[in-house]
Amino acid sequence: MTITTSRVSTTAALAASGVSCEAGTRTVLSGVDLDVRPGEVLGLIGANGTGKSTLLRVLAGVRPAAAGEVLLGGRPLHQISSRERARQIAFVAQEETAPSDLLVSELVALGRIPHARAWGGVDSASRRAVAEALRLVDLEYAAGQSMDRLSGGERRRALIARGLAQEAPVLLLDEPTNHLDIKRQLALLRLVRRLCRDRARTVVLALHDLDLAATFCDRIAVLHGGGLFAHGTPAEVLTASVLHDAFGVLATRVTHPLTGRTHLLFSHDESELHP
Amino acid sequence: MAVLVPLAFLTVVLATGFGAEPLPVHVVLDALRGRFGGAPVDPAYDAIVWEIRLPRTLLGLVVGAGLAIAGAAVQTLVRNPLADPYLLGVSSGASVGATAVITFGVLSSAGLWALSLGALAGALLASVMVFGIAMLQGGLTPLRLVLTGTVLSAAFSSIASFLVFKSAEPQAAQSVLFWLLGSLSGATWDHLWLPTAVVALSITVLMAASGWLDALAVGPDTAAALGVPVQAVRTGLFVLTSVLVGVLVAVAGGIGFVGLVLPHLARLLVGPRHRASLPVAALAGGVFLVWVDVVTRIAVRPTEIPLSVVTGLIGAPVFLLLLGRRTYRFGGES
Repeated sequence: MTITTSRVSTTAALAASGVSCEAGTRTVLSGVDLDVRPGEVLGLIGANGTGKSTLLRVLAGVRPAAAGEVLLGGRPLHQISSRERARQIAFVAQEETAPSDLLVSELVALGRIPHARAWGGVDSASRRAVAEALRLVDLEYAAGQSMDRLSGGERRRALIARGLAQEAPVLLLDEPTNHLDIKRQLALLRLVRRLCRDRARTVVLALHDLDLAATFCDRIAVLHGGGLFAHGTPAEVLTASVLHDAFGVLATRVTHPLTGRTHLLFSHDESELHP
Repeated sequence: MAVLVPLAFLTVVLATGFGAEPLPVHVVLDALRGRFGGAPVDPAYDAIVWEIRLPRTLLGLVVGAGLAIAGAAVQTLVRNPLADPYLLGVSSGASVGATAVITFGVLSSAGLWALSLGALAGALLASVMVFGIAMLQGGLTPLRLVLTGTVLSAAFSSIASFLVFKSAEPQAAQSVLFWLLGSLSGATWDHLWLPTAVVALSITVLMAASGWLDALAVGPDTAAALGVPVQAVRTGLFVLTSVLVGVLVAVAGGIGFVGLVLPHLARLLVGPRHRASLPVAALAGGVFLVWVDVVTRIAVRPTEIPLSVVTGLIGAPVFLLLLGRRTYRFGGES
């Protein structure tokens, strides 16, 4: 069963049209039509190995699509220079291995590369963007530390700050909540929402936590079976039947007794529910 | 930097005084002044300072600087702190060319330039082969470059050894060994302009691309996400280091350790950003090699010892000291 509530449109900030992706020589995804609307948070979910990271790389222009094309504001991504693309799309991968002796502020300043001239020094706009990015992820205190002094969560936030310093209208984050404690996860996702609301950023997130995806995403795309399996609002997509097909789990929707929001509870099989 | 630039000038003047005939600093300065409109000095001193020692000292500065930046560039290209400028097979290719010249008199029509030409031809041939093989296998990725370079180096070394073995020249092995271990004794003003131009151009290009190199050091995906044309930069780095190292090997033979250790020393002093570390590596490498050359001239008089004998003796303990420092991790994880 496939639910697709939208067609690829030219008003999309970022869109995939008939995109196929390869990881190595294996075709991971084929025929993906996906649009990301300006100012929305789109969650990308799917079981391990369904191609979330691969699709994000292709959307970011870091890897070419095996077939089909990615459109940035209606223009094919491969027709845009890599520098211009990096001013429009910031991408933070799941794991990045920064040199251990690089300072946090230096890592974040790498985000200014698409804006820098070959011989130009660090201008005040760059300095402001770096300071602002560090402030947004609450990492100002670590600016002068080297990367190897950071905890896993701090490292994650530093990498995200690097993406924020790019000041690109489109932000692609691959599992940004990895390594973060629950408070930081919520803080980061609230930050993402704020960026969309206040600064008109468009964000695509790969997430493993379906409940967080339901809470913070405007729309959700589910990858399963080598393609886009479902695409729509959390209420439309995160149904028991979709989650059963895509993840092989039983999901129960419950209402939070205080906030009234809908949350998801999971169990492995039927026998758990009827002990 | 503020320390290293004056240090480099001081090094040139002081090092020029050392040699078989030690000259006091004021004699060196007088001789230099004599060349630039000052009072003429004893022609013997003028010849020693201007014709023999100064080109040699300057060549040391240029070659040391070139090896250090080549090492830094290769370390970034293959993302491996143990990489040195010779990793990509350039030096062993050069050794085949040089050995062919020494043992079989190839290129003898080129006269004094034969050895340099042979080495350069061998170096470029080796680079083209490494490049071609890596591209055929799917592109210039770090691991592929390291493996291809290492394997071809071994093959070229075998060929060079075979040439020495087949040679009828009794002195061939000695000459080849001396050349392989590096020497600045061939320095003349004529030999200086090409390496100087290539090193200057390389530093300029690398500095202009320093942001891209920083991004590449973090990883190819990060670099691509930051708008760096990763394949083009890798190809550019490969071509630049191949030509640079090929020229350096052609004029001074294979000098070990400078290209491996000096980039780390620079990193330790000013951090890993290329914009800061490349100039420091270049100046420190130049100063270091000039003093190494002084040692080779005066340690075992009247003979000269090859440069690598000294760089190895100094470089190994320095590298071990760096290894022992807990705060320095060669840019990687502990």
